[in-house]
Amino acid sequence: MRFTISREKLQEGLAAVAASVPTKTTLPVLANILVETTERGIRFSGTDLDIAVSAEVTADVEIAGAVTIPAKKLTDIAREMLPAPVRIAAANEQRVTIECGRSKFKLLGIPRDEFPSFPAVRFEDSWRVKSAELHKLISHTTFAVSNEESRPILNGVLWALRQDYMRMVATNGHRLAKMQVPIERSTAGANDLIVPPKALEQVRRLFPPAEELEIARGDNHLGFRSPMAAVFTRLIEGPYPDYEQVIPRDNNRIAVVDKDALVGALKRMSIVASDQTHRVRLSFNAGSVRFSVQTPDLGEAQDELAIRYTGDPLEIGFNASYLLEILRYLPTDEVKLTFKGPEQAATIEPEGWDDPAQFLCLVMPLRLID
Amino acid sequence: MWLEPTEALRFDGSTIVVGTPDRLAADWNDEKHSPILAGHAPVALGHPVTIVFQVTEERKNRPQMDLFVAPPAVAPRSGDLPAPLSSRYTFDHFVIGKSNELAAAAAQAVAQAPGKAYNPLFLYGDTGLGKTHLMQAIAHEIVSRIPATRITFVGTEQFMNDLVASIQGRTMPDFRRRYRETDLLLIDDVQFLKGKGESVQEEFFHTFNALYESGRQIVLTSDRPPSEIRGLEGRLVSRFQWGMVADIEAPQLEHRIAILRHKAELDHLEMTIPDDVIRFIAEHVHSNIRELEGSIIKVLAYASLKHRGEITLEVARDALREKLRDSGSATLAGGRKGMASPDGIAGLTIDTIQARVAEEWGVTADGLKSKTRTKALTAPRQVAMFLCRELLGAQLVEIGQAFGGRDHSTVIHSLERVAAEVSTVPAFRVRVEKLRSGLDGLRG
Repeated sequence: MRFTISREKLQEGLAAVAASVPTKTTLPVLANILVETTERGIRFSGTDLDIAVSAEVTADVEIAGAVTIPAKKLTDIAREMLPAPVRIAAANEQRVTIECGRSKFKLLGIPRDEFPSFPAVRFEDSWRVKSAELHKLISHTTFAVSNEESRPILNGVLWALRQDYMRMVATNGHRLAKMQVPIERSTAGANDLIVPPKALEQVRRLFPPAEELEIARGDNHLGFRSPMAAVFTRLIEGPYPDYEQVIPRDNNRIAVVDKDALVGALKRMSIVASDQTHRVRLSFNAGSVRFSVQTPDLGEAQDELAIRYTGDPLEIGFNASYLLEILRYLPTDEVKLTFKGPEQAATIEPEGWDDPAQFLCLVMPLRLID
Repeated sequence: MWLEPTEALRFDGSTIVVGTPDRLAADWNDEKHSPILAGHAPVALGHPVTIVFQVTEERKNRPQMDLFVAPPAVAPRSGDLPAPLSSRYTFDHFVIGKSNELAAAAAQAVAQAPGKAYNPLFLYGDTGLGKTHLMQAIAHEIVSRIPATRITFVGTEQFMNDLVASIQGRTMPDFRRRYRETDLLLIDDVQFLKGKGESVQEEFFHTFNALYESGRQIVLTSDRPPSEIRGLEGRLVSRFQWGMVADIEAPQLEHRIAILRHKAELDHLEMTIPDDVIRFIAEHVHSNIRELEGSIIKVLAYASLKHRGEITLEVARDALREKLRDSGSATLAGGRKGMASPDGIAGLTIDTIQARVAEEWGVTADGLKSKTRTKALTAPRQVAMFLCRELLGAQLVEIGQAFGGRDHSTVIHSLERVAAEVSTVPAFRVRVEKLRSGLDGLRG
């Protein structure tokens, strides 16, 4: 194998796949990046066995071939190199030389045969999705996934595809985010996929919003690809919980609040709230909401905001960081919160959002002490 | 992946209840795994069982509510109590007599008006006379009226262990929250505070004050009145006396008979134990109630093993022969917390401990002695080592020998592991305590 590549293209290709290379692994070849020549140039690939990422960049190929090179070393070399064309060659598909200007490196690679092959996902039955729509779903929902090992299903994001819409749902049981976007009539059948959030993060990083992606499902895997890049991921075995059942339909206490003011008040309360629970008490009354925190051994704090509120007065406790996190993803200046009672799910939605998408978040209360 | 986070909660002979973190895991396991697991039961246990998955109580009671965990039922069933409370220890099952009427009345008053009637309530008396029973009865009574009541029930030793662990782990805020954000604090055996380092008594003092000042009820038990706990700081002694100090004495004969009758009724034994046997037991066992109840069980076991289930005075005499021999002498020797030497105990040996622990974990005693280090074996092995040390006071080397020739440092590690887990995992503590008290009953 021998090829010449610009420093920029080398860095671009490595940056695309570097994040998929595991930092700790028991299988040495996984710490390497697979470098292969293609018709258009060079394809870089990395995997941690759960998720595999590959990206192609242009290069002048002299002799076709493939080798795996230690990812960390290759990235470091590409970073420190002078901005000049880089010549990479591999003898016996194992001994790698890298030359750039007068710099010269020899690295010991691992033959490509040892690199795990990508999951069998057949793109014959693929469907197409606009990258921008996928980006929107991913960036508004994945924050809510669980990282609790004992609840494996909730460690994934539900991606539900229907004929005229697609939605993503993520929850850790304490809070939930759900977004739905309308799509042009899909040719694919209805599909419920539970996808690891790390894979979705790769998708968002790798594919620019302007592209259209091809997506296909294998037995237990999902593949995303564009002309120049691909992401494969293991799917989490379902079924996903019936989230529709926990979305409250009869919340009859409704507050409309200025988002920035609410964020400000919650941040102030958080300073004195317990480090463990982040418990803050909200007292809703006609026209206002009072905030208070009381933390033994530390102190207390109160605040108040003018809001629009309809319904009976309500005292309810929340983990302030759950509220703040959700508010960070809400796209509008004003937000609507609805409640039923102090021990039932609250909803948070954008208020007056002029967008075809629907966005809804739930958050469960934190029981008040007294 | 779905069974890993589950834990066995209880087994009542025909139903195994397994705890899961949330409803979806419970539903999924019910559907996918119950039939498979139940299919193994006739082979493993010799009879069919039903396997039920349900969300653990601890999950239901967390302050942060969960979309997929239903809050605890409003009227708790007997099985739904905070972890260490025993469902038997209610007022209904407390037999009142002359020796304990003051304590019982005070406990009733506290249960009716927690934080108002007598705060703190300090119960003292010899071991096995029902202090813990009364204390838990208060908790049961309050929970049945106000299910949301948060109850913290610990022994003094555990309080100290938790404190030390949280000082080392720099998790004092957690410790304080645990003990101060509670509506009812029950602490057993406060006499063990004596002579403990200043920091323990200091923290206890502050916990006490925090709860007292916010009107939360505190109930304490001890084997002697506050003023006689030597090595206890004066300010703690005086606080313990603020509320009500009530003592429980050993029951009189009539009272003992009533207790035995109640016990027989409770266990549906009324058909099988004749009055003269009850009277015989009551006359000859007068140290404490635990021993009284243990004697019934012993007589029953004797009857079923040697006399085909027939219970007569002869059988009782036979069963309680050893007790009769030293009756009159203080039968409290080597009581539940005492450290007895291995040779002074009949029936309780390393072998019996291994057998019981193995049974509890569904493994074999030989497995505990083997070299195998699978998770299924290491946990019961460590518990068995722990109990050998606690109950028999066995030497580390001796324990190591009995468990497949393990090194004494391995034994130390095991003891530490179990001690740490006991203080952090309530379900585990309950399991170990159950074993401990079961084995304790085997002492001669």
